[in-house]
Amino acid sequence: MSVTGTSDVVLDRVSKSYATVPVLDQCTFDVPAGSFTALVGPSGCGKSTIINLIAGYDWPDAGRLTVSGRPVSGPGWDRLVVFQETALFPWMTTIDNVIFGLQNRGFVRRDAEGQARELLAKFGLAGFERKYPSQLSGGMQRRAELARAMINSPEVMLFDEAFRGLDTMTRGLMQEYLLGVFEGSSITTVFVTTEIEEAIYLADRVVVLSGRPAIMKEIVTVDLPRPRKLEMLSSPQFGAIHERILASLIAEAEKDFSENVVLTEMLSASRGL
Amino acid sequence: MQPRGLEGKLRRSVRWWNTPAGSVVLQISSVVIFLIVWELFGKVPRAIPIPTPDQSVRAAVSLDPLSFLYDCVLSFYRVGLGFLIAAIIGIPLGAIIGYSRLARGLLFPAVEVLRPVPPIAWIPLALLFFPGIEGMILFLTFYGAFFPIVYNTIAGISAIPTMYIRAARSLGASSWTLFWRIMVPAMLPSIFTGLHIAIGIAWLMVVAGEMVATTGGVGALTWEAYQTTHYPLIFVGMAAIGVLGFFSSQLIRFIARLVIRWDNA
Repeated sequence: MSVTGTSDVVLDRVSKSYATVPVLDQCTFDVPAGSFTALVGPSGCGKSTIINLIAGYDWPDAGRLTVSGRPVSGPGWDRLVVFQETALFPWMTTIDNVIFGLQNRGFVRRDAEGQARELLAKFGLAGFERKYPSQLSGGMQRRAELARAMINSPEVMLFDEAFRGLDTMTRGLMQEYLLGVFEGSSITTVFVTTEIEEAIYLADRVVVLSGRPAIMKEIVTVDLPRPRKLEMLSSPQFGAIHERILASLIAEAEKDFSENVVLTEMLSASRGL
Repeated sequence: MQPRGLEGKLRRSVRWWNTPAGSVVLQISSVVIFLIVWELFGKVPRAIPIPTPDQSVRAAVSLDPLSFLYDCVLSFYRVGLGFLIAAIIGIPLGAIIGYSRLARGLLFPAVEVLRPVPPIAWIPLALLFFPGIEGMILFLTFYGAFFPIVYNTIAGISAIPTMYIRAARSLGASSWTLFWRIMVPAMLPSIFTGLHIAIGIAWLMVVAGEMVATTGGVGALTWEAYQTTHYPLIFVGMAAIGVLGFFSSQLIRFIARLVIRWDNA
């Protein structure tokens, strides 16, 4: 087992293009060890790309990306991802999904299952060990996926719009759940979302990204006390942070919009000729 | 159970034919109407009248049961062997083409060139090439089954969501684990779709081959019935082909359900 709470993630002028379309342009920010950092930005701005780079699924074209000071060289169980839609393997039962990582690291099945049972019970999934993912509800699937990652004691947890597609109730419950697991833990967390409320409610810091190509626009520190309580959502402090992030995002959206308008005008003018 | 049909989903009121007993009555009526229409066709005045249902049943009863069984088993064996060889070659080939760009570039164009030729068009060449009848028929069933298997395996491996591969790699999967525990199960549903289509085409091919070769099998039985003017036997042969084809396709479905437990669990 690794010692947690020592891994920071640093992006230093990271650039990435896909088929000549620049997605990240000299993006620079850091995620302090043990912090919960949310990434917000216009849709399609490259938030998922940042997750993919940290996870090691893809490589930066330029710049430096390090985790605990070491450049990322590929996927590894020290950095685990919870994906947008469930990435539980449909052909494995819940418990087989959860022990998959341990088995790959040479754990005996019996020991791994013991650990998994304990964790699944903690995650409210006792009795569902032998069910297939398709037999679980959306919220249960996300919890099982979280268990599949957490059993490996990762140093960094990456969430790529992990709660998208859940209904408001389930989403709220999952947020509570996540706070319960992560508050007091020393796991470094990067949480990509399009919901500003969610970002503020969960995170210590909110990184606001610009439209494509994404650069870091500003970092807003969320100085709400922990443990977070639902009432905080209606506090003036929360409102002020929300307003600041929203203003930042709207400025970004307007810039994007006016650029598009100029482009449209240019196009129609050239067509008129 | 019969499919409910669109009307069943739209209407709230229960008609008599939507009740369990009513649906049985309906299904029996369907068969009876079919037999009546068939009987009527036999009554149409023609130089050689179409054999009626009762004549066909009498022909079936008069058959030597052992030689009839032999024909059925022979056809089934020819289909099964060609199908098995097609699966043994086709699934790995499809997997390699779907996985590796090099293999795709090298092998896929050849597969693509051959595909548009309907398998039946191969009969003359197969007759020329294979000295014996068995080899010719085996080639035909193999060839018919081969392409659906290859194509559906390629589709299966190409359609694996990258998310699964990524999750598995993050969780420390070796190449071996990635292949056997992620990629193989992920493509199984697609492979079985291919096998299901393939067995149908293999039956088509065995019937065509046996009608040309006329050395045993239900295809030959049907064709010889025509040539020797034992017309009622034509229907017996056709029915046998239908039942055997249905049985084979149910067998594939049964195996699929055993292997793919997570879909209908």
